[in-house]
Amino acid sequence: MYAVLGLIYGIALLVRLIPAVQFGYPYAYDVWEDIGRVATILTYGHPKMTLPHGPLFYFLLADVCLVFGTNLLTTFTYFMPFTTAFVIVTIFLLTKRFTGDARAGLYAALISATGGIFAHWTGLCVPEALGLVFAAYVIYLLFEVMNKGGLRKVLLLLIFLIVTLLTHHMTTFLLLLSIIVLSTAIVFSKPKVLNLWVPVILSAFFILAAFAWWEFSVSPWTIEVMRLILVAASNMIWAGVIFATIPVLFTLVIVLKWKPILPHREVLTGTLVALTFTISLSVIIFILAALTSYSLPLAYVPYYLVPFVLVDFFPALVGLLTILNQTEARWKRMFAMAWCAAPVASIFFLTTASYWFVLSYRHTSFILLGGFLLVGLGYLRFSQLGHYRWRPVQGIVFAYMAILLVFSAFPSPEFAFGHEEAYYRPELSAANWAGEHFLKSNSIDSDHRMGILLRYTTGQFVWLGNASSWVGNMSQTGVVSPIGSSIQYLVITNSMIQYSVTDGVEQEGKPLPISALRFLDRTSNIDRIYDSAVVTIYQNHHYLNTFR
Amino acid sequence: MVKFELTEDTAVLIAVGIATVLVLGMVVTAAMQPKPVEHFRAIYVLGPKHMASGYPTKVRVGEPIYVYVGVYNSMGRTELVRVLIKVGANATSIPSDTKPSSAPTYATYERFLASNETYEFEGPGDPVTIRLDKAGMNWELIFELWYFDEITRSYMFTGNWCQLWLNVTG
Repeated sequence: MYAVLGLIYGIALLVRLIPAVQFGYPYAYDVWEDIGRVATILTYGHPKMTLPHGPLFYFLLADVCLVFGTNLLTTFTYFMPFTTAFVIVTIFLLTKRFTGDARAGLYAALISATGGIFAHWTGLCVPEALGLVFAAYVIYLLFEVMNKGGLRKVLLLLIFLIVTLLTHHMTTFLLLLSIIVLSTAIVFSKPKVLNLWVPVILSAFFILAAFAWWEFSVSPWTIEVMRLILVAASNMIWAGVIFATIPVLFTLVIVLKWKPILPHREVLTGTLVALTFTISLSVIIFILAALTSYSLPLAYVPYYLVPFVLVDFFPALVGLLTILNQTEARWKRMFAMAWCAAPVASIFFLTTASYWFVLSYRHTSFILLGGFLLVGLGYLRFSQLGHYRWRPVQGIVFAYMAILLVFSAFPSPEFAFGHEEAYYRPELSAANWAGEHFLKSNSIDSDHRMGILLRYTTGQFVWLGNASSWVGNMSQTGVVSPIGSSIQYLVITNSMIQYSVTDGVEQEGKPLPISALRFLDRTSNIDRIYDSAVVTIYQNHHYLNTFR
Repeated sequence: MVKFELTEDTAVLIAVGIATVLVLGMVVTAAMQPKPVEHFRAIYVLGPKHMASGYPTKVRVGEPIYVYVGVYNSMGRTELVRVLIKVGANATSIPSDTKPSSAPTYATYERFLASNETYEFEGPGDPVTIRLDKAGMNWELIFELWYFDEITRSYMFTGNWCQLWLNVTG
């Protein structure tokens, strides 16, 4: 069994190494912001700003550079897959303990090894990847504490909670939200065993600790994002709260009132529910696509929905129905559902109360983490169907289902939500050129994707395609406007023209119109000073006239 | 003799075994594929202080203009490259990615560039000197990058170009 687990670790590692092998430098552009922060720690011995997600990730990466003597880019390219692939071990242990069957644990571990956006986020060298690994330990240890108790495990649980808190704020938030949802079932059940009250106690004390920590340590940028979310939600806050309550109440009612439906025929029930869900969701997506201005390419729907429904959702549903039908203990029922219900509640809040709904895509990796337990049990049930002679065929089908997820883990640019996640070498080359030749104390205009690379190489302020950025406004409005005197350099990439000007999370990215390029090339106070395969750099004379 | 029995364990073993082989195949394929858009050339223009600033905006007729014109070869082979400096006016002859400018050529520079080599004309620490002999508003100095194509035995426009705008007074 441990040899099989070792093989699954190998699969998890290889999947997470695919972009590193393909490109040879850190994948995804968020990573470059973090590289800049670790570079500062290595240069000055301490960060020069409040670290935005928590300090642990940054100091860990700095330590890895120092201990192994590897340079920053090598560390950021290769270190994280080796670390985060260990998450499969925790998922295996949790599923094995919960279901009492090691095979369910192995299936859960296999799907988490290849698992779509979960593999994506745990493959990137970002704080969230490490946060998800620690969160998995918290979930496992909490189950152990509730199931068997033991002070040593309580202590370990507290340590991993603190470690998660120090690593990534959003993962901690979702973890706490899930523990609160779990606590509701405990409060309603009023168990007599002290172990089972641990989530309630944690909810009370750890929330205070977390908010105290965030009060002192959270970065101004994070506060600003939170403020913007609340401002945007202020008009619809009650709608948000009501909609967020729906999944929690729904879960609670299921946990408290469940009566077995077609016992031992969960695969049949699961098939019917999964089909209904898929058809309903597809209809909703198509209606939303028709009614809203958010232009989601329809090809995305099958690309992401089919692997998710087939490989994750359907087995998870079968696993959940099995647990609900066969488990009397309410806390166990809730434990199986809380880690998915809480982030879904958060998504409902963001979607109904605010235009920040795009943030909700960041919840999916946590939902998947919470659901692997159910997925593992679902695959175990599938593997028990039919005659024994079908087992090899079932194994082959499961293998291909797992592999199907790898394709949505690191999608090609046309499926990456308007972004090109990886940089091209001409872009790295242009950013290095800018770092060598741009005047200091100037502002640069670009999009979020190219901008954070420029921040790293130039150490200067860069507009990231947002409302204050010329390229951001041009892409959003399509109307040519003069370039403000506050911008000296404009860095334009092919990705902005072909896909979109990315701006992080504030608005849906749109491509830079050709009229913008014509304006830049034909305006007499804008010089074109650098040109390569996919990057063009302009300098704004108006800036010089004003500030000379 | 060990008897192989088909149990639920068989399905797990086969699933993990086949998934391992498939993922290994994917990684090997990814490693063997060429890096995306590895091959490219670049051209740039720097001001007289060798920085991306201080570009001339207003000069007198005959007054020397100093700029560094750099080229970079990342085509994975040695290439003969040519930079054409052209003088246009009022955006009437702007190049495109496929078509060079129709403006008259002021000067031509050529150089064999090794792979991964950057070179600045007219040499290390020695900027290009340009003198314009006619007054006018909105003159453009256009810098086009060409390369020698071995197949057609002629210079081809790379689609890479830079441009400086300036006014020339009498």
